Amino acid sequence: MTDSTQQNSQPEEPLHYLPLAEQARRIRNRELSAVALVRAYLGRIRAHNPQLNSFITVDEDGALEQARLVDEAVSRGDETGPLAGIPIAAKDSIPTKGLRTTDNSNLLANWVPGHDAAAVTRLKAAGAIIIGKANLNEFGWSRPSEADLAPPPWNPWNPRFASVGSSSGSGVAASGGLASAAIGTDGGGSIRLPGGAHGLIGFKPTHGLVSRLGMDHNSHSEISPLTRTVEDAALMLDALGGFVPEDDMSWPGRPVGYTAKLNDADVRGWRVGVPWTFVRSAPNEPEVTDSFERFIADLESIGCEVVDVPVRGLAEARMANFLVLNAEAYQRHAKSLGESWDSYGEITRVYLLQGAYLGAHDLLNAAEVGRTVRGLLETEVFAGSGAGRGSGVRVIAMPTSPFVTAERSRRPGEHSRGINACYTAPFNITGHPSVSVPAGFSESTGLPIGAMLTSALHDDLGLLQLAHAHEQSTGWHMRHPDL
Amino acid sequence: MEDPGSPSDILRRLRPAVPLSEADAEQLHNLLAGVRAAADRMASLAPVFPAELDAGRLSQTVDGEDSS
Repeated sequence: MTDSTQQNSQPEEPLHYLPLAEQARRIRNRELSAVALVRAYLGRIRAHNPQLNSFITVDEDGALEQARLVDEAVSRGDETGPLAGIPIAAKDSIPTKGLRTTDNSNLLANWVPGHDAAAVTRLKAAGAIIIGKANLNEFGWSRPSEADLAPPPWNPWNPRFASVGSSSGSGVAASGGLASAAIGTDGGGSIRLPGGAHGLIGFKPTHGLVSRLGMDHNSHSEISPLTRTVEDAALMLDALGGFVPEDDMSWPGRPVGYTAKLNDADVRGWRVGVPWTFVRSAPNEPEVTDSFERFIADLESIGCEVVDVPVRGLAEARMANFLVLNAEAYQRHAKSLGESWDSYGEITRVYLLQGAYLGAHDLLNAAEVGRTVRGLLETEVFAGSGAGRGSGVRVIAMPTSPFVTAERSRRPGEHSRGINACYTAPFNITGHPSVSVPAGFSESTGLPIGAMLTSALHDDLGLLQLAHAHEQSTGWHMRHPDL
Repeated sequence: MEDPGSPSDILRRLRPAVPLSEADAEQLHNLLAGVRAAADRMASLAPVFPAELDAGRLSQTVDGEDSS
């Protein structure tokens, strides 16, 4: 483990682990060329991807060409975007124009989209470079298998352990220093869970803040960043967020300017609620419990008031989200399962059939439960917070996952009930912003452990501000895998 | 939610659409137990018209037992 916090002289971080905010500043100031940065990451991908399986496709030529254009623009003194020259890994379920997008399925092994997803368009408009397409559970679903189009990724913190998904390759790329940051999708925890297991900031924004236009329909899955620092997450969110009129789920609000306001809040006195009854009923591994207790102490040390907050309906919200995910996945694949059964992974195709037995009543019942829990959170939990709705807590704190390793989270029985996502999935159907932040390490495995913060709808800024204050007090973000 | 029945029932119902094997049907049968539990829980919470969903029945634990 590389730990620059333990050095008195604060040595320079290697280029590949520098925060993207610093990389972008150096490119703008001509202290670093975009071509050099892309070459550095391409070199690391060549060196480590054969072992880690982070990327399915790497766009060497395209990334270098984009980097040259950025350097030329900077040389001319042109106005460049806030992410100019920054190499980003995109989950291979997110369409990228002219760049193969496989969903890690043989069904799409040769699909080259003719369009970018709206989120990719926005990243490119900010100057970012899509360096490659990151590995995932096939169709973001199922359990990884060696028979998948691309074999499963491994966690760079300890490559004896599998990477947690479904945005697993994205987590590997960002934590292993194979890209400046990554984007993925979170339909039940698929950004926050890999965020926790890779020592990253995994930020799921409020529903509708980042458009899913150009991707398959999924009511509660958000395109989300995975970054090494909170400031990097804010920069990514500034680029990704914004109203897309042709997307019926896009939120028509004004841009907030998360990066500029990151340090504007004094979090002392913020009330942080922990639903202890819920947390203590989960099958948390002892190292998760220890880490979470330290996390709570860290929040208190920066001045937060931590209180017990009863929250009803989190289990039902997880179940409701699970039903919607199943129904939408089946609806999306029903025809092609019949026509191309052998092109799907053996596990995936059976998982996709779970929705075959659901009916309209089931979906409507689930939607009503989701609405009810969303309302309870807004009126009984976050009411009165600094977000302006009464006198409640500003943020909910919970572990990110009950489990440390991907292997443990896949135990039969618990996996099919979604217990690994017991903390994350409820906030997909309710739409609340939620972030996994680094909260320590497992001594038995060397793997990071995350903790999760969740705030009121559209209080994404408050969430980032608290996560930033916590990050600055702990320094977990200064640690990186020895790669 | 439609009752999937036994693995044999699953084979009969789905084979006209997809060529799943007996092992697939067995695996799907096990997975559907979780789906059905979730669907049943949602159905149990559905209110009688014109009442609203009774939030007091929502659980405070991971397993989601009825609080009423």
